[in-house]
Amino acid sequence: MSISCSRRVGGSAGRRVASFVAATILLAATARAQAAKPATAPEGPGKTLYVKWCSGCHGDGGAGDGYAASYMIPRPRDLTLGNFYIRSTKTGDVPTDADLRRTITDGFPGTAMSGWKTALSTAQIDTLVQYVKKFSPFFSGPAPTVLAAGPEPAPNSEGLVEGRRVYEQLKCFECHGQKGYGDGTSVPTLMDDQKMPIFSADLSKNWTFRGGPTVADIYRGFRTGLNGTPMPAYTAEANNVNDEQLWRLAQYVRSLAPAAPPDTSSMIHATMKMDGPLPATPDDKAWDEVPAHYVPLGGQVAIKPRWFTPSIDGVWVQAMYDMKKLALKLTWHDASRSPDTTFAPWIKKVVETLDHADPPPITAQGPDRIAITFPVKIAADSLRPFFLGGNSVRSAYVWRWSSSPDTAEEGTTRGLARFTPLAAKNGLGHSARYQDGEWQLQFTRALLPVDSTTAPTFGGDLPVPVAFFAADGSNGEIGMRGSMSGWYTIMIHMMGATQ
Amino acid sequence: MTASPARDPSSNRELSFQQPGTGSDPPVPLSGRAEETGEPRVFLWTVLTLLAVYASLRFVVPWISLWLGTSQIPVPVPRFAIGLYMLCAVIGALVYVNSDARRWRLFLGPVVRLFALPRERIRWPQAVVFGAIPLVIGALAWNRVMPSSQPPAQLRMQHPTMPQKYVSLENPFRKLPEAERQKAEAEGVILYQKNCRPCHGTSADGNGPLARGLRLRPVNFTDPGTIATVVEPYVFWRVKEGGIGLPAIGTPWESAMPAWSDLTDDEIWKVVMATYALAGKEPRKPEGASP
Ligand code: HEC
Ligand code: HEC
Ligand code: HEC
Repeated sequence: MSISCSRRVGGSAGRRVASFVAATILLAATARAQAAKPATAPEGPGKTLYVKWCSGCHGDGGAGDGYAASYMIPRPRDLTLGNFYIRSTKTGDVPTDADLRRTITDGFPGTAMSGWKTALSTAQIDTLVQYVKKFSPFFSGPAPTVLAAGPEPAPNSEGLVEGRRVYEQLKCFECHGQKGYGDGTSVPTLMDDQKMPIFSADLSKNWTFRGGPTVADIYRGFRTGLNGTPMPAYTAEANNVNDEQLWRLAQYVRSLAPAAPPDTSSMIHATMKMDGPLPATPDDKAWDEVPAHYVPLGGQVAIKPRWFTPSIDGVWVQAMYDMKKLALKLTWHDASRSPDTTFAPWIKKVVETLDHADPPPITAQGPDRIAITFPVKIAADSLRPFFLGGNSVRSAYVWRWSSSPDTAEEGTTRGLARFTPLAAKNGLGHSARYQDGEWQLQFTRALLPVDSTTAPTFGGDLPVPVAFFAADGSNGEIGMRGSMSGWYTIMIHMMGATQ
Repeated sequence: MTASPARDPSSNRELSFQQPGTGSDPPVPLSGRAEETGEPRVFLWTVLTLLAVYASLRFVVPWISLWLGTSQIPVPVPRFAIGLYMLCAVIGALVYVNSDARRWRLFLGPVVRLFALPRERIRWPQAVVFGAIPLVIGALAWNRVMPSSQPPAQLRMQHPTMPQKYVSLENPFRKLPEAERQKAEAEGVILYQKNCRPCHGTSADGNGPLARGLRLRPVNFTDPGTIATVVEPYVFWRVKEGGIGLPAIGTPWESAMPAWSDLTDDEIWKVVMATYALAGKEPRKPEGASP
């Protein structure tokens, strides 16, 4: 990592340092006056727009300190520093107008920086592009150099092998992990230039990339680096590779993600196992035949304590059954097997960053957790419990798992935090594996419960409603802090067997 | 059933059947179209009656329990029960039709006309029906085995009636002089951006970063069908009591909308005003004195 870090200063760093010195002198002269009064938005066209739409996060002075800023990680960009993630220019350089226009128009997926194309007109966005540049003296320097890119070679299977080799040669895995799931060994120490904790990207989810999902976007991303983050810039000269190899790397990284973002229907289709018993472990080959359904998760902010900065953004769900049992497999990416002591400083940073967080305070690092909510009875009237394990109106039936100690239990809940283990146990089986930044967890239960008044029957005529909750202990997620989904349905087709 | 083919006087090609044991009845020429012979169209009416029974089981019965107040939401009739009722209805219809020999023959008329194969050529209705039979059976079997691609329908009402105690409330800040009103609205915007933005989005378009996990999407306030169609106390109620405060017809169990117990009533009025302002919408005017 140290090697990559020193490399990212290459390129136009000289000019950058020079302009920084100039700016410091300039700023020092006015520092006293500025410190005295609160920053105000600079005059000029776009001020009204900026104050109305942007300053709540980016602050009147553009320093990323608006009133809403402490509710989010990543924090709003400090526009005065001239550090921009998404650029077509050399590392250390400011972005071009086109780059800024693209960022403001499309936003960054999954962050508070939403795209503005629906709320603002193109003319308004253009005005804002010019206005945003007023915050930083770096824009007044010479126009930034746009990086030249060679042609992309046609993709082929040898190219992917070569791309993988370059991935290892350039040590991308130190931050992004062996399989690209964002679990590199450096992750616990990663910080952006505002000293905020930052995850490396999960390369298997290209739809979360700030700069765009395509091979060309990825190529541009590591050629330019993401200024202000630990993500370095790579050049052919400095890294002893040629341009074609860098394209191969981009093609390889693209291949880690599915061809299209996963479909987000609410139905999870269960597969009937025709031959032999259901698998006992989540890494059984039999699971390869079963379609995986992607369930996106968002921070749990529906009830207190709310959690605005979740780490798990989705889980793949598979369902398999035979005449006796139902098995569910959950697969999700998590940078650590919690509790993980290397993440102690990380949690400390998260806690410091969220100064407004709901009580109780986060004191210790918890385990990784999953909770699956079902209705107690699956009925045609479609009355359901609240998706977070029910509430005082209607209780729910929940499977919950924790990584340390590795246990799973079933219970009746009035909200996930109010869990009563089931007296008539239905022999809920489970098996969990953690490898390369990925959890795989299998639950197995009989279709018919011991007592059908306390637990649902699976495989009747009706689809099974389910809702998911996941927590990453190393991100400070204890109690109700974590990620949630709404109600999904598992379709079990017994082909007349139980009807 | 054995039947003896007889020549139809009106056409050389067509056949009629005579039921055994009903010899005393004058034979009805089966091929004679009802409209031509002035007889009632028994077959058509039977089919229409059965369709009506099916439609009421599917679409009318579910709402009866709601009107009767036995359930808070429409309860669909289970597929199995529909099958059972339809079986009874078909048997009933057949018994009725068969109870009178003449009616029975009138009933069979269109069926026989369709299936009786002429010697010279096959007419297109026959071709269509014979072609469709294997297709329909195939489709039914496929439907049974293959997962349907539609999630089971959840009936939901976005704007159920608000509780009585909210109806006559008024936003105290709307009545203030414009400068003070604007100040209250600006405070509301801050409350909105801190609390509501993660779900409802910075520009009130329902696209906040935390919305992605939710199946029941946070409301897009810029959509003219949302807050613009309700009066301000309605929005006040929704913010104060959240998803859990909805009656069952509004499916409270899938709404992530929090109940904002930690905001004071004044803060809620401010945030309500800000929500309208950010969305560029006006609240609906209360009708007369009592909205
Ligand atoms: C709700 C908070 C919020 C609002 C409102 C907001 N932003 Fe942002 N903005 C962010 C966050 C958070 C980031 C950093 C995202 C990241 O690090 O991935 C960001 C990043 C940026 C960046 C840096 C892009 C880069 O390449 O690094 C620019 C430029 C920007 N915002 C402009 C704007 C403009 C212009 C507006 C007003 C139209 C605006 N923002 C409104 C939260 C916000
Ligand atoms: C020092 C740690 C580090 C190394 C080494 C590193 N990355 Fe990254 N990378 C990051 C971080 C941190 C981010 C996420 C920044 C953010 O949150 O937007 C990132 C983001 C990315 C992204 C997403 C860009 C986007 O548009 O959002 C891609 C693609 C990527 N890295 C590829 C690579 C490749 C390929 C390599 C090896 C050549 C590499 N990274 C090496 C830390 C690293
Ligand atoms: C956890 C995400 C979340 C947060 C935070 C949230 N909402 Fe909601 N909101 C929802 C969802 C989901 C719905 C749609 C379901 C429903 O109507 O209950 C909704 C519905 C609403 C409605 C009903 C609109 C209509 O036309 O029926 C209003 C009004 C509303 N929200 C206002 C707010 C306000 C004001 C805040 C901040 C104080 C807020 N919400 C915060 C998720 C959220």
